[in-house]
Amino acid sequence: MSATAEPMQPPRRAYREPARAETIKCPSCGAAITLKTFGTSERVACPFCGSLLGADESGALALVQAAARARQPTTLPLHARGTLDGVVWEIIGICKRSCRVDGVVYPWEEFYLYNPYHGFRWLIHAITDDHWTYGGTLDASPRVASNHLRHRGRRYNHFQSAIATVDYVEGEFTWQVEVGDQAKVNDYVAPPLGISIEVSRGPDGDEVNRTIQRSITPKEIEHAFNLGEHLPRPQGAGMLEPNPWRLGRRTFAAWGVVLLLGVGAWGGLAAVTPTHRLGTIEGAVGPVSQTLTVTGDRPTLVTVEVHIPALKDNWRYFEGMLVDTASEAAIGFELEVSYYSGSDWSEGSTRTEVVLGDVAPGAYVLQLDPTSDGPGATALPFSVDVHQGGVLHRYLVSLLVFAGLSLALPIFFGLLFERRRWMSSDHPPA
Amino acid sequence: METPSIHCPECGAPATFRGAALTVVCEYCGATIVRTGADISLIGKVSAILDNGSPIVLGGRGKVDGLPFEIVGRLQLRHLRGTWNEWYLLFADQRDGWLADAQGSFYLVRRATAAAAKLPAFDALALGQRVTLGETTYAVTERRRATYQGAEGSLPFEATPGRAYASVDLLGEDGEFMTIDYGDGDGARAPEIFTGSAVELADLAIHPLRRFEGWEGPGNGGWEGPGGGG
Repeated sequence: MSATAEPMQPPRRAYREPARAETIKCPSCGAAITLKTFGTSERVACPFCGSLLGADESGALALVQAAARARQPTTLPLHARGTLDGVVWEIIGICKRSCRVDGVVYPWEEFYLYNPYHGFRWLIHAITDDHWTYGGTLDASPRVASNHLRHRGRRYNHFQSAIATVDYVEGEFTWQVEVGDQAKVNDYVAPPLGISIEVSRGPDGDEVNRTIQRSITPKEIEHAFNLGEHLPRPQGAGMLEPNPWRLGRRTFAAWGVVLLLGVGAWGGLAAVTPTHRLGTIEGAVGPVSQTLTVTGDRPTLVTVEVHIPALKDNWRYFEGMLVDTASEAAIGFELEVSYYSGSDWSEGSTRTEVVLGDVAPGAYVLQLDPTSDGPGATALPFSVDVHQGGVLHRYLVSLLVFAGLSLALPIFFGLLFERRRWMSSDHPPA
Repeated sequence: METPSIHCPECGAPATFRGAALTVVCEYCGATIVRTGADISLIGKVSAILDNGSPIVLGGRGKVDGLPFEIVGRLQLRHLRGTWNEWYLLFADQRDGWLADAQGSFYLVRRATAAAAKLPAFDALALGQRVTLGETTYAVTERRRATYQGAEGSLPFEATPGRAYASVDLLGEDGEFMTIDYGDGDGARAPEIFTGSAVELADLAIHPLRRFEGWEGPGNGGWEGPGGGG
């Protein structure tokens, strides 16, 4: 072995220098096309005329198919950069596709995102309802059952099948895309995630591409791409849109529990207070009671109960007032006692009570006027019992109803949302 | 395993067969040098690697599960849909492996230790077909006949130009990855199995990586599915 006499060339430091973006001239329309993927792309669609260029054996781009289409507006522009999941992405290719269901065309836009260290992702915009998804290649081959598939412990339900057709392309792609390309797409959903399986005719039989996506809000995209409030707001329930009522389910349930506990605690303190008798009025006379003293250091409940022992198949109606002897402020109420019975039935009671809330401690007199009654009831003697304390049923009931609704309504609206979501699927609810 | 340096029969520059390498491409003149036993022979200046945007460079070092490796070679292949790279890795435990790099997706594989069941022939496998190896069931995702495009560094076989490479890629239900290497696909040699998984470049902590005009380094933010960062 002998060293060569000539001075040795330094080793080729290939790929040690930064890779540079390059600009080529479209062989068809002459426009300048900036290439952004440093040689990764297999296919370039001139944004201006739609001509397709492909890399030949030497890696040089050559015209594959000349075209002269007009450039179309897209919701996000080619070469825009945005930050998603902490990674900067550049839109390097845009593809418009559509499918036809029952004679109606549903178009969408696909934005192909690139980062030289992180590869490729997609942003997909459904033009019909302005819902967006964000995803990338799924590096797994989940086994597909008739109506669902499983991936990492999650069940994804089949949502729809469609034949997707490529209608428009611009920019760079890592596959040999062409306008008119068709693929059979099956979407499986586990909102906010979804898996799409696309089968297309490849050079070597049916080619399968799997992507995993998540729902993404226009707000998140606006934030990522620094757009301001620029994007249209989504309509209806998106395929992968998280069910807001399910997301909020825990919050609502927590509210229900808090309310129930609150009712319990408040009831213990206020609605249900210890009872003691303040006074009794006997007989049919004496519209004004003796002085009744409400004790304690905070407002409480006062229960007034009228008992007409001899009442049968009749009624009496009273108007009453509890009057504060010091301020002469009055708490008014109405009360009806009615009782009817037959051999095997009865309705009403000979006793009726009314609970007065928020009665401050102090001295009171009770005024009770029997204002009307059934035939012959005027003569019936009655007695009145006045208690401090009691149970304010109407408060408890309304609070329980409120707590119950806070649990039931989210479930109801959640089901309604799912119904709307699945209406646009291949499996609409009956 | 490390073979002492030889001198390139073409230009005289030093060259080293790394690990069990049978081929080395001279980094000075690009000549392909093949060794057979103690003899070395010159194939000629044939390496014509295309710049296909890979962020990986020869000589980079990284780690997998704490085990360091060095990137000692690259085989670049061409098939119907373009080119991809197979980076040859030498691990600190003297075993080797491959990092496949195709359009921004990376798959790390090492020679399978599981006994190869009777594998279907290359032509008998169809896309989507299920193949079970050990406990894992895989589906065929790609079946290709590729040709040699170029090479650099050390490679563990005779990487001669014009050679055909028939291989099948398979994916498991949970991201397991398998490549069956059928050699040139004529069935003359038994298929070899390599298993591993899809990997994120960021998880391999490779340094140095190639720099790209207008882009910062790889940073964090690995892809753990679309819910990973959001």
